[in-house]
Amino acid sequence: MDTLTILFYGLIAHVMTDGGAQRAVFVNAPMHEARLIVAESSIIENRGFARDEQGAFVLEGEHVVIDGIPKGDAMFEASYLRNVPSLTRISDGTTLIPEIETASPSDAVSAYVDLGRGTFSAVETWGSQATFGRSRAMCVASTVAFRAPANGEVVFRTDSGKTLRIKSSTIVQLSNAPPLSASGNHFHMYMKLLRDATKIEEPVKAGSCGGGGRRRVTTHTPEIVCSNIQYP
Amino acid sequence: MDTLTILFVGLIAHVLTDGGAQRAVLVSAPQHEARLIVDAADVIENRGFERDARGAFKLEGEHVTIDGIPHGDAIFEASYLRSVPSLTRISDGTTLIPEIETASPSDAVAAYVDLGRGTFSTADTWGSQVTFGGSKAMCIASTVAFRAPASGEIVFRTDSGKTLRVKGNATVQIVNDPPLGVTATHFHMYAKLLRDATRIEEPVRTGSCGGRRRVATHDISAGCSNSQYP
Repeated sequence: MDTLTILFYGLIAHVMTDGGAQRAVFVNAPMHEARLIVAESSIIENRGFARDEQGAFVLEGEHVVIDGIPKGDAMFEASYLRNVPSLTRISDGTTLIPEIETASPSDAVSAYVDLGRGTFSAVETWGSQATFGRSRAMCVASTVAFRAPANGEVVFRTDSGKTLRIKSSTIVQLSNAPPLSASGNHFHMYMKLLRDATKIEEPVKAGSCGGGGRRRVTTHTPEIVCSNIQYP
Repeated sequence: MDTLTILFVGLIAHVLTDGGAQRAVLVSAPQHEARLIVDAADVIENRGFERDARGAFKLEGEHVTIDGIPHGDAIFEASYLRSVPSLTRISDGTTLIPEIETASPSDAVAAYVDLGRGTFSTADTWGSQVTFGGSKAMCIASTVAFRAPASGEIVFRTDSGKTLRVKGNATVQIVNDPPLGVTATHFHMYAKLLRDATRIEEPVRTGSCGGRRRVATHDISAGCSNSQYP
């Protein structure tokens, strides 16, 4: 059995929908590009996905599902719970815009990717420990991993009819970040995913994630920039 | 390889500590009794645990660790995240009392049980869908399961020197409930675990959990339930 690994970067909310889907919601934000990146040697066939100048597959406007991994609920390692901020904890919002439940087009969303029965973890954090409002300090994940068993090949399939067949033992990157690295925090951009939020706390540096004994994932750049989030 | 199953029922907060421990914190509350219940056929040896009139092992005042399951971070099924209310979402509190981090004695805590590398899930929910304040509706777990691989035998060991050896494939209940059933919700009792909480929302019924049920559902009201932190 192979393992498909998906690495998520940038403005992506991992939403557990009321209907039971585990959905990655790419926020539609200025300068951010929703992309799927995979090594050329892992691609079996591409039918219809446009590519940008860097060769990444363009996801804007798509609702992607993945064939070839098990259906069902995802699992979550403690590193994910510890390092991926929760929208309902860092904002006063409680309810998502309704389009997310049905993966329908919305001005707030650039793409959806539905996952299956795999395991989420935080594989890398920013170097600074942060608090959101009065929350306890946390090291924010810069990279979230989803790993699922797969066999032979995996197909990324859009509602619009595009398909991307790849080898199942591949590492795929799903990113929603500016083409050039941006400075500053982006968490306020998640606001548009919430129907009733009036504020979202931005991270305030509270220390370092580099030293000490409780680092459980790798750590890099000191600043906290584009980061994933979870809902609820 | 065997599987140890622990079923948690009642006023118990599942805390991911800053130090990396996955700690079950049994709240000290009126009428509630912190107990470990295991079938007599699964008990290999008891050294020091007192038993109540029903044969359950008393946990009050203890910090329990478990030998015989892997160390490390736990894993959480979606059913756990979906059905176990988070203390930081249902209250305005953000910070636990410091005793919890070190599993030190506290008037707010009846007992601590430290777990290891296993998987949490919701095994059973109450029958009513509820909201906490403005939160989205949820079906609350009435029983939380923790399953861990084990081999041969398991030892529940307290800092005070007591040991309880059970078979590695046993199902153990860790309960913090009143001896007689109660009908009112208890979430406000979790406030004592938080250093800075001024309020905790109580669940308000909004519907039934019958429809999109992913775990077993029972009693209609929402009674004594676990919580998670953060």
